[in-house]
Amino acid sequence: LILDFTPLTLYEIIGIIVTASTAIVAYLTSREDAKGRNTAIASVIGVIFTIATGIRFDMLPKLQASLEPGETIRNDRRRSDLLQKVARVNAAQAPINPLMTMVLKIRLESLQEQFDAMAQGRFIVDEAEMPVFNMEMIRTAKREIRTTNFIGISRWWEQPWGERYELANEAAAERKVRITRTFIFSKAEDVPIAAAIMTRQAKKGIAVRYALLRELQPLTGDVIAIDGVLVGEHRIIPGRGLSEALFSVNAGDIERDIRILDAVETNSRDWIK
Amino acid sequence: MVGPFTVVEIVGALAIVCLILFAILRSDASERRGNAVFAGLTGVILTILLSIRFYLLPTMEEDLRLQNLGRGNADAIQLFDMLSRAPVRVKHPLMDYILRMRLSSLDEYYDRAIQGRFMVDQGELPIFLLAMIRSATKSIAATSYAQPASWWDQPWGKVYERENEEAVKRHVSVVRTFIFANEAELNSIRPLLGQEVTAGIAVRYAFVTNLHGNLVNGLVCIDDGLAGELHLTPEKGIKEAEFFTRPIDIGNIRQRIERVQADALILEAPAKGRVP
Repeated sequence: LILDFTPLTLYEIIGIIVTASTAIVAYLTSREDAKGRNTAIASVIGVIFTIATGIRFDMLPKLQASLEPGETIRNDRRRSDLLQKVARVNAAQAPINPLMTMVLKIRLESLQEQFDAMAQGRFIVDEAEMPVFNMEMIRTAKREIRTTNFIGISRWWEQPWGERYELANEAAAERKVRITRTFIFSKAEDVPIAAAIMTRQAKKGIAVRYALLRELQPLTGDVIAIDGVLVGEHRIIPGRGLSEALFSVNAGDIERDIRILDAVETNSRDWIK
Repeated sequence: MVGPFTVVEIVGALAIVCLILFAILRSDASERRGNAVFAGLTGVILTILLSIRFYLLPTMEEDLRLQNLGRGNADAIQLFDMLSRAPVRVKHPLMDYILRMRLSSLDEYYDRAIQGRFMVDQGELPIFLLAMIRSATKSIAATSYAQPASWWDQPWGKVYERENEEAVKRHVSVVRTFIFANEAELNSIRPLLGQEVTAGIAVRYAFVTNLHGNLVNGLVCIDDGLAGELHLTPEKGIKEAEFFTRPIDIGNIRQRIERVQADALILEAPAKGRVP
């Protein structure tokens, strides 16, 4: 604990002055026979009041500030339960395998990075989480979904989750969410790969556009914007054959990704079949 | 807390107002002001003391208890630090969803840890498996049923094979049994297996059709302290692995490995100058 108690708090200094004044007033305005008693009562009440307010509004808040990390955990049942569980695990499980400790260390470091990113309004959704997260993302959209879909990297639409995702998009379009999806192809010969899905989506009320990669400014991955308050970028993790998506509610990131989507949509064509 | 005040203080403030009104209404005219001031001041003092005693100190005591929970426990200290720094109010429900998922996954990790088990996911496997082989001091017994493309062709897959060879050099007994769907699959990596035999690794092979279903998997046993089972996707890609540290679980995995080894054939060392 780091505390910064001063010998006399501001409350106490003011309290002493007020108490002294009150005692003088009590002495001067009291009847002769009650002067001593009233002055004593005023002084005692003043001192108790002064000490109580000093403790309550100066010392305890400082103490509370030092305990803020504990307060954060106390206010979230999940966190406090987790911490108590960990404290129990180590007590019951000694010695723990060093490789187990290594995995925990890697995981905690990764989580720490993710929590720090969340403090900046950013979060990562990894490959395994993407199907469920994508469904949730489309389900919670209220007004607008704008996205690119790079055909070539992703085989998303062919997978079982892709079919469910397509249905979720159709449901969103039915509840009047404006959806604009721009399919991007590395070469013109690839367009037929996605022709069926593009036509199907266009028929369901989704604004389908398409473009060739060379017609656009360099893109590092698919971009999505939900209701103008959440943006995400899908990317491949180099050397690991895995992908993840970086989402953000950070104003700067939203502005940047919306600009990217504006440019993609400007340089793409309507798919009408 | 409601703003800067506690619930006790808010209730106390209402009681004080009532007390002052009561003092004004029930006192003689000459004592009205004095009694009201006295009632107000004692009410305020009492409220503050009650608030400190029954709200502030107990919550601070709980905060302090949580803060001290990890004393002498490095994991708990690290976790406390992380949990206290994790965002409390996130700006978007989907971000909140991910935050809850992260906390849940950590919760699951500790639930398993209590039982001496832990999961290593796909992204963590490369680093983990290398460290696992390096940690072996006496023996490594393993069965492999991963798709060749997801194992041998990965850069870290090659490093993994090299680490096995290094283990042999430090006199660790390495016995690896490879499981194949058919002869063609075996032949596709026969040269690589031959290299392992040449490096001193005892290599065996078996076919899926000859094995019981629960043996067709990736299993590993390191010394007497760690055993693991690889979880594969339906396409035989690597999904995650579960490891065990309790002797009973290690014994179980070891038995399964031995059953595969019993049904497997030994791969002979390739003759010099001939591609195996």
